[in-house]
Amino acid sequence: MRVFGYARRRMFFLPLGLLSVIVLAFLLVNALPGNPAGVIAGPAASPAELAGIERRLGLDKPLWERFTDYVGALVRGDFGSSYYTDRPILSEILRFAPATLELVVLSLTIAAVLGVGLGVLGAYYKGRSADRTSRLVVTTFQSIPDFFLALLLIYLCFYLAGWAPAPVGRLGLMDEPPPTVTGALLIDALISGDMRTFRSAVAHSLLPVLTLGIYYSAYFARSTYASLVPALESKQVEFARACGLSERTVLAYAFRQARTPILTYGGILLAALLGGAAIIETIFSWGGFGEWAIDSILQLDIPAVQGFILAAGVGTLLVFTALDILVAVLDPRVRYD
Amino acid sequence: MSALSAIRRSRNRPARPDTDTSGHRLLEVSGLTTRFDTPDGLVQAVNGVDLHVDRAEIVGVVGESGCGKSVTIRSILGLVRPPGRVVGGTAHFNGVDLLTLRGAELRRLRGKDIGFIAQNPFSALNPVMRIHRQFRNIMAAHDPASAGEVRDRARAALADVGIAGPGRVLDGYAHQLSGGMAQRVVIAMAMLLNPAFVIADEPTTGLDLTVQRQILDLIRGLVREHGRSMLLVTHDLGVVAQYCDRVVVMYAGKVIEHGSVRDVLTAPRHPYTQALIRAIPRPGRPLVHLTGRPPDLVDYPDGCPFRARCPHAFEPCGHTVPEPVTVASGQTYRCHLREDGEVGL
Repeated sequence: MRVFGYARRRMFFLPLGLLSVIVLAFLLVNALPGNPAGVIAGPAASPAELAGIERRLGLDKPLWERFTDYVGALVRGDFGSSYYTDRPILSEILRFAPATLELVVLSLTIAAVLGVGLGVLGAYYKGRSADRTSRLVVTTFQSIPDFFLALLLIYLCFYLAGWAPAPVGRLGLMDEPPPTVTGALLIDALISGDMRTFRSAVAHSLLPVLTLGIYYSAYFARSTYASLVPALESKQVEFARACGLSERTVLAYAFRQARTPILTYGGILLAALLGGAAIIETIFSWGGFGEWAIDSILQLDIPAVQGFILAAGVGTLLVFTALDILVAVLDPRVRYD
Repeated sequence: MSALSAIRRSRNRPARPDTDTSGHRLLEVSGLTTRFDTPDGLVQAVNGVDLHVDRAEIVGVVGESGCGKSVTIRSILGLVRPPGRVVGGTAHFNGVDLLTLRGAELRRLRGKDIGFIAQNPFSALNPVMRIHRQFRNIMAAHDPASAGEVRDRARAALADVGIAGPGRVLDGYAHQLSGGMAQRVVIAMAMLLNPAFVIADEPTTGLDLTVQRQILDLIRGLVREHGRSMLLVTHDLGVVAQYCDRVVVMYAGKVIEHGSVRDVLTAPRHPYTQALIRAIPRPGRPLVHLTGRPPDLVDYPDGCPFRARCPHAFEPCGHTVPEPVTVASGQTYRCHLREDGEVGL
């Protein structure tokens, strides 16, 4: 009951957050330096040509008018069209976002399992050789930049060993993509029952998922270690031991205490990676959300950039809301009256 | 409570003969030594502690903060964690040396044969787990077959500690309870499996004065009623006077005096015990504070550790550790002074 009430109140703030994201998306992009008309027309264009392009894109109108046009279109479900491809932004988002979501969710799962494992090992055996080993591994994982790790893995696993397929995207060049249902290839391949495509999709996601998984496992390991060490030294754990509970139960008690910060950290990483995996997506030609955003920014494709900011903002908003509700479910002490 | 009146009452109680009849002896600790290897150096927290608890006896352990009381009981229970380490001594419980037991063997004794009452219930109880589940885990740890009777046993244990609505408490969380109620839950957990021996670590420190007395009465009742023994750690001599049979006074990780409560509180032999008694507030007498601080446990002093604060320190105190001296009634103290240190209550 307490949690339902809280969840309702928390959802109540979603529209407010959404409005801020819209305003922010509009202002950020329109405050960016650079004239998209100039980029589209090229350096040799005459002033008359420039003015024509500006008029066509609506850039000659005052800021507030552009804003009301933008919001009005959003309400109708029209996110605008790309200046370059003329494709509707909404369908672009729906095309690119599932690829990234798939990559990020898989990577964070690997990162959480690996990182929490390393953190638990280090915290439980604090000061002993297992702790030192864990810390060495974590420091190594964290000190290798993710793009370098990606190139290293490609070199080792594709070029030298041949275990992994070439970094050409989510499928091989000769693979037939399954009919789009969810946009997530692995799920779509399973739905269509095409096991050959599914295996190819798994093989192609191996290296990017491993790259992000290894890199971000260090963050999970550090937050696990940081919250589990005091939990293991707490009076609560001592009392559990004094009651004769097994070490496994004692560790579970400590983990229960430590899980909220770990979960919060995971949520923040998830939100950040929705647009932040661009470099890895580019290296693996993933065709993801972040990659699309970078291309759009470099081309000053304003509707696309606005669409990206809006989608990433809404994604972040949803992740954080879900996170807050989850924390309230997990921790009975949380009160929000 | 008035410490003085409690001490006076204890005079009228028949003294327990302090004779070594090992049939009575439940716990016998000797030469217990515990060190902490910290970055600042080796902390000599417990230095050769000898103490014993007989059957159906309540023994108080008193001393200032940092005198090694808690480390002593944690050493006995095997709860000292790295960087701490028990480096010497024995702790025979029912004839078994607890210090030689392996993890799982010691774990089976904890909670079942030795109950532990923690200092602050809100840090001891799991904040994010229903009380019922915490009871269930304790029972499952010692008797996996008992799963079906958890609720009945837990209700009975809570009723024994005077909780009126045990069902409601079991279904709730620790933070929903008052301090006194939460401490009753901790006591119920400690007594759940009917231990013969209870260790209480300053069980009333965080509670209101009015509740303190109720809790101590409750603990004493549960101990006496079932013929249990208890080691009661406290820094309050009034509590010792009222609730204990014998008392062990610790200073700088050493037992500096022990004996029956009547003997030690009415005729303290060690200057430190005398100072502790003088520091009890009582009407009509100025409060005499003990000045100075306990010695640095990393750079442990030679000779008597109390020397720096002792009003009677003389030549041998600086280099010779006083040997224990036992007087007729079994009262034992470690001091070079031989004259009677009566402070005259």
